[in-house]
Amino acid sequence: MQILIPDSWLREYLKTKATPKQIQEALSLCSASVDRLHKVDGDFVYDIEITTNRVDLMSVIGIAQEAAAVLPQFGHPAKLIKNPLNDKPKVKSAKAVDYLKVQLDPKLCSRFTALLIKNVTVKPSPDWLVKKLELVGMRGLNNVVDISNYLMHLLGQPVHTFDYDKIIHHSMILRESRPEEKIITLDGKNHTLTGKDIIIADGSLRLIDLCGIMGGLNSAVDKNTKNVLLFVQIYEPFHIRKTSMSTAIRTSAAVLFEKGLPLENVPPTISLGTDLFIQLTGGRPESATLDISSTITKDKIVKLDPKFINQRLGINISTKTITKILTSLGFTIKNSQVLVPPRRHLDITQPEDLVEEVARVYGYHNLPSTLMTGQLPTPIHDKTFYWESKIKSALSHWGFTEAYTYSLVAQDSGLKLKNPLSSEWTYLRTSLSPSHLQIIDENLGRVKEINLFEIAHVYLPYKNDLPKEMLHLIISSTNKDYLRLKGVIEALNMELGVTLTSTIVEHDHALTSEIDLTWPLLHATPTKTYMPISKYPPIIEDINVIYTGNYAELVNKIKKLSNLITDIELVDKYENKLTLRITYHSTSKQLSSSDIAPIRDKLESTL
Amino acid sequence: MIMVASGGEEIERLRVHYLGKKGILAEIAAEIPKLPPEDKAEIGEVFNDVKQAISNALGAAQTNIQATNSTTTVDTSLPGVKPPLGHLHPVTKAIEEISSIFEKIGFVRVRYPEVDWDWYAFESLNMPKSHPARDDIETFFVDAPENSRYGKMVLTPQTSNGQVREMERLKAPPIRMINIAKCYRRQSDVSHTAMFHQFEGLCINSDINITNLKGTIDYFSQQFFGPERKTRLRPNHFQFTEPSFEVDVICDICLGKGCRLCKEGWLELGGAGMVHPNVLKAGKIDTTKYSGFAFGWGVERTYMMKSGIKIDDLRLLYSNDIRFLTQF
Repeated sequence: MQILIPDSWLREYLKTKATPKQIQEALSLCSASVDRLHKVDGDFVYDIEITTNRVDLMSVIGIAQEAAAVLPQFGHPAKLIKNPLNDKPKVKSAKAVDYLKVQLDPKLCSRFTALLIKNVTVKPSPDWLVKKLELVGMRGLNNVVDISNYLMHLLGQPVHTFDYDKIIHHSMILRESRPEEKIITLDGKNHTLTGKDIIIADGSLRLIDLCGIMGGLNSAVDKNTKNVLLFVQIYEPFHIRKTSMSTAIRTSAAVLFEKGLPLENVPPTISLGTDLFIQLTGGRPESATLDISSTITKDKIVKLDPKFINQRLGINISTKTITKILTSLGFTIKNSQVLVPPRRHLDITQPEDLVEEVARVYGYHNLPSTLMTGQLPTPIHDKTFYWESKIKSALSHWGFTEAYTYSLVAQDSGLKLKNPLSSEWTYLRTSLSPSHLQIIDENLGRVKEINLFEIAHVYLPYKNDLPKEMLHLIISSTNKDYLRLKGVIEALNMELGVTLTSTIVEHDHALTSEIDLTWPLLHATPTKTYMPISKYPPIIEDINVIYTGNYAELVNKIKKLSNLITDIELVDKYENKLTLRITYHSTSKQLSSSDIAPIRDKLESTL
Repeated sequence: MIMVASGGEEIERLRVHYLGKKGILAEIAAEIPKLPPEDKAEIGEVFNDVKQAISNALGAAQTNIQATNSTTTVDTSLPGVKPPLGHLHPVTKAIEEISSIFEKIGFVRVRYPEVDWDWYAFESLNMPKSHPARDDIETFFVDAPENSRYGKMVLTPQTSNGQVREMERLKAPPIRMINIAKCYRRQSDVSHTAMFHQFEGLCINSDINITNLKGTIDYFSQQFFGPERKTRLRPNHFQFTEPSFEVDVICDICLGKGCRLCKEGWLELGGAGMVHPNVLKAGKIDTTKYSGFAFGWGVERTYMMKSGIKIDDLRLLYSNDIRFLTQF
């Protein structure tokens, strides 16, 4: 959530000599982040980001309270001058009033207050009010609407107003909506409700309010309005969030209500509102406010444990300082117990939450930075990361460029998403090849030759369980020399000390080979088997043979002829002739031509 | 003699003769200490001049011979014949660098599912059912039957699913984990891609405190970004940590003074915090004995914040344009 707070408005409640820049720094480091400080018409406006757990900071008063707590830590004395939320209401309240009959579902509205103000004059607001609203990005409309907006921005409690005379029979039923019910909101838009929205129907059973979101057009204050119903409630947050999402209306009121607001802020809001109505509209309030509360706020107490707080902070802060910090934030401390103010009830529930309060006000920047000591975890024997990195490094040094393609694809036999972002990203892939063929197509013509690889998970569906995530390697190349790609895989085998199971597939523009790395990564080994080096020199000779179309078969045949043949290397291939380099070697004796002659004879007769 | 030397061998012989360990100059140098003190300075100066002159002459002769040789055999100014050059993707470079930094301070790298159950991705992380991350606007759900115990199947929107899984694997602290994996979110714009990578650190032991988190973050930041890139913590709010922090690193352009590219001198690195007791409980860790911290940051985002790397659209990383990939 974002809120704009003018510096001049803040200082009506906060007494400090700190400059706006200093206030910005203190709030950002210890409370809510002041993203920007704008200079507007000789004033400053703080643009503040509020986290969802701190809805109590969505107001001028909330920020003033925080600033008063955090500024002293930076050497700037600061004090809250006044807090309207602590003021006792001047108008008495009653559980029932003559001017409004109400029937409500207490689960939907935990506090319902309304006060009739008669004989108002709807007119433009005075300059001081219009200027305040403009600084926070709102336009002055008329005194009635402006009072509501002013109250909400100052106190953080949404306020609504009805034209009292447009409420048929002066009666209200607050209930859940039924599917297909319709309402036209203040902005003139038609809404067909999906059901379970909080609404108010009047005596004629028509809907007059989409509660907590926006009022109905049929009951809105206009320039002829004489009698206004000042209306302040607390609605159930989940209903508000649901309605706000389904109708796509994100009013400030909805944003506040859906976070959960304290019951205690309601009477002071009505009270200050009444003062403003008397002052700005000349209206006369009835003698009693209707106030129906279905619940009361129970005291919330969290144990104060300075030792625990210091353990988590990693330093020693005195109990006195801890108490001072918590008190400055509005907590009451008695006998090692912390009484949480109602506005913080949703946020502060356990000792860890107090750690945060103390630590942030003390200042994270004032804590030292220390690496932890203590035992190290038992290492896991997982070499797969090492080998994955080794493969990547080898391929990149052999001229291949690494790609990262999306695991989500348009078509696959794998798992399907329920809510894809686009048709291009609908399935979890079970193979990397289609993605690579696609990027090869996209890159054709950009460079002379494309050599790519990628290592990524494929997600293989598995009945009644999570998919199996298997690490695959794909190597692709627009160079269609089969033996070259085969050579790359053979070289990888040598790097890894295992044999990769691979097939090279030919496509229109490229060769690809996709390899499941699961087994190879687990079995790869840097250990090579040591073969004693023979004392005796080998005899090496080249022979020419006729190529029959199957090299592997030929080599096998030759090897079988004698165990003195230790190596056969392909030196040249020309038309249907192969030149082979044969190595004869013995570990036990010096070979002579007489040892070789019979083998050579066999060779010639066999081939 | 040096100037008329005709080959490399001859020059080497002359060098040994004059400048070698047992050469003429070495012999003379050995005599200098024996001189009367008043002559030492003057003779020493002359000696140095002579040595310098011989050494210059030898150097010049050597260069001449090389030049003569090269014109007859190879033009050394021609470009060399390079071995084939491939390229690693920036994400791989970042992941390898990040994991090696954390390994040095005892963090163990692990792999956990990228498609996981709601329980590990949300529920065990103290995320309320109504949390926006759990609705289908932000997170991808798989069209598969729900598990009666673990709930819906999701594409992990963060690497935090590894937290409770690591607690389950080790049963008891000490835990120092670094989990780097693919994550998925329903978003795509200049600073977001639907698939991205995160690295998640988790450290649990007795007496782990906020200063340890600060120490770890500073260690990482100074190794990864450089010693001048300071960090700071600001209050923030996440469901799975309490307290929660936003970690900022000082802007590499203005080094904290504030400029057009940063927020008042700082760049947001990501979230961190002390592990929420409900998360420890979900992982069956005794919260009276142990505490911990965790952080989870985007690999791409963190890499982009290194000095000198300015990619204005994160989606380029996954465009796989060969002209982009071969720049790294």
